[in-house]
Amino acid sequence: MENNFQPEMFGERIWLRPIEMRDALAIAQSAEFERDPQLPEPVIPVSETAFRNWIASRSENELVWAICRTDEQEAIGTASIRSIDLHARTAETGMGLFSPADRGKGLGQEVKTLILDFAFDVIGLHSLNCTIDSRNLRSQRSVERSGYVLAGSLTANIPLGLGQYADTLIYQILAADWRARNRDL
Amino acid sequence: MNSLPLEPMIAPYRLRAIREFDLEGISQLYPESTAWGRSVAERRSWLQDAEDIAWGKNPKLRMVLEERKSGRALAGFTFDRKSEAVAMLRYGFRPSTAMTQIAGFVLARSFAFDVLNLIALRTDMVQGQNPLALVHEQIGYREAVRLRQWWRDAEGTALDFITYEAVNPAWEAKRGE
Repeated sequence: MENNFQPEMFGERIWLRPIEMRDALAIAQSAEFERDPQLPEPVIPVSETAFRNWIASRSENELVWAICRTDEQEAIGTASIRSIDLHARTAETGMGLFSPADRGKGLGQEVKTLILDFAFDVIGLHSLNCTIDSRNLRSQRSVERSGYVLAGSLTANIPLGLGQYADTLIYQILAADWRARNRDL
Repeated sequence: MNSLPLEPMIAPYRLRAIREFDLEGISQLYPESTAWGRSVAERRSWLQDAEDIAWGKNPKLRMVLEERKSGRALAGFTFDRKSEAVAMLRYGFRPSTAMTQIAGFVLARSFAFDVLNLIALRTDMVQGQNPLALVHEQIGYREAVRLRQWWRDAEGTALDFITYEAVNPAWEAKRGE
């Protein structure tokens, strides 16, 4: 993306800063948290080195932030805008909080508000999508609260092993919908 | 919705593996080919790099839609595997009728389920650009995802981007149990 402009952004309880090498360990350790009973399956462990490689080699059309609590520097999650297409003005968003204890408290809504404002008002994107495991009901509720609308589903998109598969849901939000929603709130 | 009479529609055609004599039209058949406008030697080189023997497990399996009577290659289909269960269908048609194109999608669906044993076959397109959009339900495809105003044409008009998906009836039956 042109100039890779990626500012720090501040919410009430969290702030976002561009991801750095030092975050690799926290991301890797996130798989070690106690399993979240509301998520379909445990996170597969990935090494710190692999995440360092990922941070170093991210593509130009991908922006990733570390989510931190206000007044703290340590990452408690990541948020991203990926597959940025400046011609079509589209991209894909993603977000995750490492610890189950941080989920379900509205922190994700703060993150999404910052990410959507940035994507639509600063980058000038027109439409965003995100993908969610069809079994992850909490994430579905979360993106719907932010104004995303279900665009469809992909059958058997997630291999579970032993011949089992789960579907993927695709959600979408248009800049016009986001702005109208914010006007109405 | 009424179903189309599929047997007479597909009878004039068959799917077969790509052959060296298809090289002439390779850029029309396989849009992902980088051999467009190149010499025959370069096109043959692309084909040699792209093809291998994996008995249907190929990450990308390329097939040709052939008109039985003339032996002409009318379309190219690439089954781009996303997993053991799912493939994306990429396609390239030579100038052909809507019925020919629809027959190609019918044969591709059958090949995906009966030969490759896939659970789902997907293909995506911009709204209004393919006859599949008009008859997808009648030939076993559903509209799986519609991203509103996701694609911008040369004039800057925002168009919907649609993913169509055919799901193996055997999987539907298993899931319904």
